[in-house]
Amino acid sequence: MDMKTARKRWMKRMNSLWMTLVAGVLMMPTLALAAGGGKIANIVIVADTRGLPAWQAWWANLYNESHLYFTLVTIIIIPIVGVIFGTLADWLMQLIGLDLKSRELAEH
Amino acid sequence: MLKRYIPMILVIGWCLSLLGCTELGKVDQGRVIAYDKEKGLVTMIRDVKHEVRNPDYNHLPPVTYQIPSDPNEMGAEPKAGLRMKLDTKNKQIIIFDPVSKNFKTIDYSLIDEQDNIGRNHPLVMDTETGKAKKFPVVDRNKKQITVYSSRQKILTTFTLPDEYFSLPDATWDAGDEVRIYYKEEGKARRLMNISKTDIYRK
Repeated sequence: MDMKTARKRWMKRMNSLWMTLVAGVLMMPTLALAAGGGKIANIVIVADTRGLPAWQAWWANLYNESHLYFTLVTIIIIPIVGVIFGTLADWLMQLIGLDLKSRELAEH
Repeated sequence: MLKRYIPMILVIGWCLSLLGCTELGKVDQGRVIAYDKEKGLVTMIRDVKHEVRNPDYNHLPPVTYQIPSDPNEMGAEPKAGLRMKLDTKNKQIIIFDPVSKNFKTIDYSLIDEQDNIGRNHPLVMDTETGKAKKFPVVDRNKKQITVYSSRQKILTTFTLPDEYFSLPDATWDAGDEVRIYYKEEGKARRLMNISKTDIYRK
């Protein structure tokens, strides 16, 4: 068997393996449903916003309103908070005399 | 340098401004005294104390909400009950009287009281099936009522004047606690059954 045929055969096998894996993943919900177990009530969570300060109530109510909006805002806010904290850390280190922007190599 | 980030900042600002324009709703919480599955109406006594671990269901009149139109926004169906408070210290039980539409405080004579009874205690759970035993137990022959409060971890048996034994069993049962997210008065957008939601259960 020449190299080309062997390579083709190997590719074919890999393709069928991938197809099986993809089909398995796609079938997972169906298999889980078929497993039965009777009617199961949804798990529905409502965040308690009563008596919370305004911004906390807004944040929690956003979760109650739409999980999608809540996810989007969380995704947006996390890097923003990261930049703010990073900038603050830079400023603080500069204040105490740590210079991380330039360094002199100590190795020789 | 800053120019590179301008489009990203604009997109983020636009998203946040959109969210800022979205009018958000409010949250209400109470103990269910009536649930009409067919009409999709849930009636509850509101908790006005707002203390998570120590709610006080004492607000009148009862409030009624239409359950969410989307079934995915509703948790387990609530169980209705008229018992509002079990005061073991003063040997009193407070119920909601649907006739007078008011609370009624009834003194009881204690027969037996077991403290520190968790949900898994053999007295309240069938150890063979692993299912919770059904309470209240109303024995109309012996004139005894046994109620279990999972919050207070108390299993108590008491007796009452004869006239109370004609009332339905649900009178002595505590309804489920529900939390509702709503935008429009009387219309729930999301309903959580607090009593039947255990987020830590596997």
